[in-house]
Parts: sequence; structure tokens; C-alpha cells
Amino acid sequence: MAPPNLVPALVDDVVEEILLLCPPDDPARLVRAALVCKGWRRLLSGPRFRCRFRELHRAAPLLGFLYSRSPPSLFESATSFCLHLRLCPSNADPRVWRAIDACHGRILVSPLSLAPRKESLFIWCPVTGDLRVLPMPQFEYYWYWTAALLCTAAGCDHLDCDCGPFLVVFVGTDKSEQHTYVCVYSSEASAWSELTSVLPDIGACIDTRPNALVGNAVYFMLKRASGILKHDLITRELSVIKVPPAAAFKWFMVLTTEEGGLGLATITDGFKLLLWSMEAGSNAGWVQSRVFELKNLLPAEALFTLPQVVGFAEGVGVVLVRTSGGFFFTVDIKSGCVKKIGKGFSHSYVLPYVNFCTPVLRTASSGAGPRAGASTVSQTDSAHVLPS
Amino acid sequence: MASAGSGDEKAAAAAMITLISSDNEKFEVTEATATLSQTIRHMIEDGCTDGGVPLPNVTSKILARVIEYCKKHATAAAGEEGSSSSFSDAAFLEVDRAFLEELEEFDDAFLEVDRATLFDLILAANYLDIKGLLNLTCQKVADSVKGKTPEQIREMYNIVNDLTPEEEAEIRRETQWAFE
Repeated sequence: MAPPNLVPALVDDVVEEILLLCPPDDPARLVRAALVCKGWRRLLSGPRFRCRFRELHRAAPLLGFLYSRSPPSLFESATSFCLHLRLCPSNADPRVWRAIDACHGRILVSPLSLAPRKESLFIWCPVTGDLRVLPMPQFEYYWYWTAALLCTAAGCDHLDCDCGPFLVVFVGTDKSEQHTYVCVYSSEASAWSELTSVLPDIGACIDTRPNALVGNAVYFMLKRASGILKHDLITRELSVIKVPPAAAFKWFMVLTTEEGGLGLATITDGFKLLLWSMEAGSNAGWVQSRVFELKNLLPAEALFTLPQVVGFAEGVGVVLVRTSGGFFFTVDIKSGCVKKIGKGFSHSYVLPYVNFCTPVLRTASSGAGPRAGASTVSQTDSAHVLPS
Repeated sequence: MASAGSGDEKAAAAAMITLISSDNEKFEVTEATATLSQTIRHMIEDGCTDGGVPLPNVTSKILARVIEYCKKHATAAAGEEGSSSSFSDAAFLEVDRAFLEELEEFDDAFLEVDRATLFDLILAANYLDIKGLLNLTCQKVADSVKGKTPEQIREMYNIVNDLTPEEEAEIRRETQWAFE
């Protein structure tokens, strides 16, 4: 090894080139580098590095998975990024939290409560600590509910929008399971819309499993149903789309296909994972696009009972599957490669958490946060904004 | 256009440039090799290369390595261009793959240097603006800090810790997850 005094000092712009080449799926490397000296700390937590790092690597990494439905939600890391299996926007908050949706680095979470109207929805970015708190909609009729979080920044490439404007599409079904309502929260208006859609007698209630955004519509899952719920963001209409007969009343999941269309994944009694896509034009309808023989892909101990599709990572192109034995696997929809990602959880859906994670250090900046964000509060300051 | 381009290249390949290191050693290189450096390319375009190009920031030891890299990569680039017109698609792909493999092997062997040389190469690549070489050498350093603690990185690269204990504690508190 060369004696230390022979190693020449690197000028700042070279240090920047080096640190830019650290892979996005190892965020701890950048954080540890920020502790090397003042210069590196300033560089790594600055807006220039943040921006260049995203532009160079383009695709945000899959940092981990949020296991949801049975509260509390848990975070299982897929990289060196870690949330300590603690999904809570505030260290001081003892409530039980669940993740409802995740969108370009932000998570929509709510505390579990028997009186949801008294609670709040939290839009939280675990990487930056930015937190937005909004009241639950106050209309009377919902008993079952879910919500979708959407980025609404104009022309956004979604590389760095975790502080930008957003919509929350809230769907609630009444206790009799006869009526379903939608209202939309806009971060720019800081208010909920009127109840924009009422669809009587769909005969099924809204399910909390993940939604899919396709074009200008959000598709939600319904419980024990032969259809999925479509909310058009432009016309504000609500309608039900029939699913393929092979998926009706079965456990399935909506997804956005690689081509940006509506897709669906289900597992048949024969342990086949089927992917469907909704074709437009004269042959409009569901077309089966892929079939995977899970008997050939999964280990024997995972095949005692029928596996279930529990999530989909858009952009990464993997379907998430839960099997007997409490195992969770990803199935790559291009290569068919299978990877075990978790074990021992009882959660019934999984939200992939995809985001860039460059160091956000409040101590590094001179008073100002990493970016301007008047309406957000930092994670470390957030305890006082939580309703007690 | 293509034939005019290759004609120009032949003329360019014949032209020689003299590079002069900080310790006054002279290196004769082809223009094709020299112009992998954007800095030198601009000097050639501005017509300021008569009598040699002095490089006061680069020693002869490092300049020799830099030229070795540029020669290899200039040859590979010329080879690729030449092959595209004279081979069928399949043969072209085969040649292309062979070139890439050979280049990769060359790059791997090229990086087998001590840390001081690696840093000198980075500084030279930055000064001479040779994108491929800068990327190659910087990636080696980025790879080398994988799994390392801040203390280990400082020791490896002779960096003085100027953070106060309070600042260090604060960063560690904010980013606890990265240190476990």
C-alpha cells in the first residue's frame, strides 16, 4: 500500500465524479461517505449532487418492500437502505400504522382506527423525512376505504418529485356494501373535492389492495368481485370493468403493464401465474400475455397451498407472490427469474418502495432544508403536528 | 459522407502531435490518439499545437499510462468503424463482441495500479478531459469504498476529518440506519 503522503488530494469536481458512480441500490455507501469530511458532506447533501445523481442513473432503485394490510405495516429492505421495520412518520407516535399506497418515493400511511373520520392521512417520504398531513374526508358513508397517491407535477419524469404536488384519490364503500363514493384531495388546493362520483349497487366493496394508475384513470380492487373499479381523473366518472373469467372472484391484482396499459395478474388452481393485458381498439378486451408454471419456479415447501399475487413493482417488472410457509417471492415478468424476498409475514399485500436515496442532512445545510417546501415539515420536527 | 469521413480520418491518423510532460519528456502520438482528450482536441482545433503541447500537470510516468489507454481505445474505435462496412451483420456483431471483450480485459489490467497512481490518473483524465478514462478510474474508487466506514475511507484516501465531534454525532443520529 502506498504511504498516505503519496496519495494526491482530489479536487472537488473529481470527488463528485467518483461519488456519482456509487450505485443507487447501495444508499448507505453515500451516507457513510458524507461523514468523511466537511467537503464530502456538503457535496453529497447539496442539490447539485442530488440532481446529477438522478439524471445519471435514471431508474430509481427498489429500496425495499412494505408489507401491509395486517397492521402494523413492516418494511423489509432490499438494499442497504433501512427503515427498521418501523413504519411511522414520527418517533414519538405510538399508534399502529399501515401503508396504503406508495408513489415515487412517498408513502401514504394512516393510523389504524375504528373511527377513521377522526384520523388523518400522512404523505411521508422516508428518505427526506418530508411529511404532509391531511384530514380524512368527512363524508358520512364510508365504512371500507382505500386511497391512491398520485404525482401531479406537470411533465414530471418522476426522478425527483417526492416533494412535489400530489393528488389523493379516496374511495369509500358504505357498511351495506351497496354504495361506493370517490373524492379527491389536491395538494395545490389543500382541500378535498366534493363527492365526485356515486355508483349505486356495484354489489361489492372497495378492497385495500394496491391500485394501478393507467393513463388518466386509477383502477381499484373490489372484494370478492368479478370486476375492478375505474375512476377517470378527467371526467371523474366511476365505472366497473369486468375481469377475465379465470380471475373473477379469485385473488388477483391490477397492475400497469410495461407498455403503460392496464394489466392483471392471478394464480390459477393449477399453480400457473397468469398475466393479462387490456387491449384497446377493435379487439378490445383482456388478452392473456404471459404464463408462468410456478411448480417449476418455486421450491416445494412453498407449494403446499395455492400462492397468491400480493403486489407488483412497476418499472422493475416483478410480480410479488406469497406462498405457504409465509414466504414472499418476486417473479420477474420478463425472465421468469424468481427471488425470495421475505419470510414469516402474515401481510396480504406488498407495496414496493422505489426511490433514490441520496443523503439528506439538515445539519449540512445552513438553515435551509434540502429543498424549498413551505408546506412540509421535517421528520425530526413532526411530533408536534401529529394529532394526539 | 462516410467516405469523406474516413478520408479525413486517414489524414488525421497520419498527423502526429507532440505531448510534453511536466518533467519535459516528449511523446509523439497520432492525432486520433491525442483527440480522445477533449482538452487537446480543442487545442488542435485552435491551431495551438505547433512545437508540442506542454502538459505541466502530468508527469511522464502518468502521461505514458494515459497514452497507453488512449492508443488502445482509439484503435478500438477505428476498428469498430472499419468493421461496420466490411462485415455481414453477424460477423460484425462477433467482431464487435471480441473488441469489447478485449477492451474490458485491457481496462481491468490497466486499473491494476497502486492508489497514488490511480489518483494521478484520475487527475490527469480530469485535466485532459478524457471521459472514458475518468469514468473508468472514478468507478474503481467508487467500488473501493463499498462497505467501508468513514474512518476506513479517510485512511484509504488520506483525507483529514474536519467535522467536529458534534457535527459527526448529528449526522450519525440523522442517518442511523446506514451505520448498522
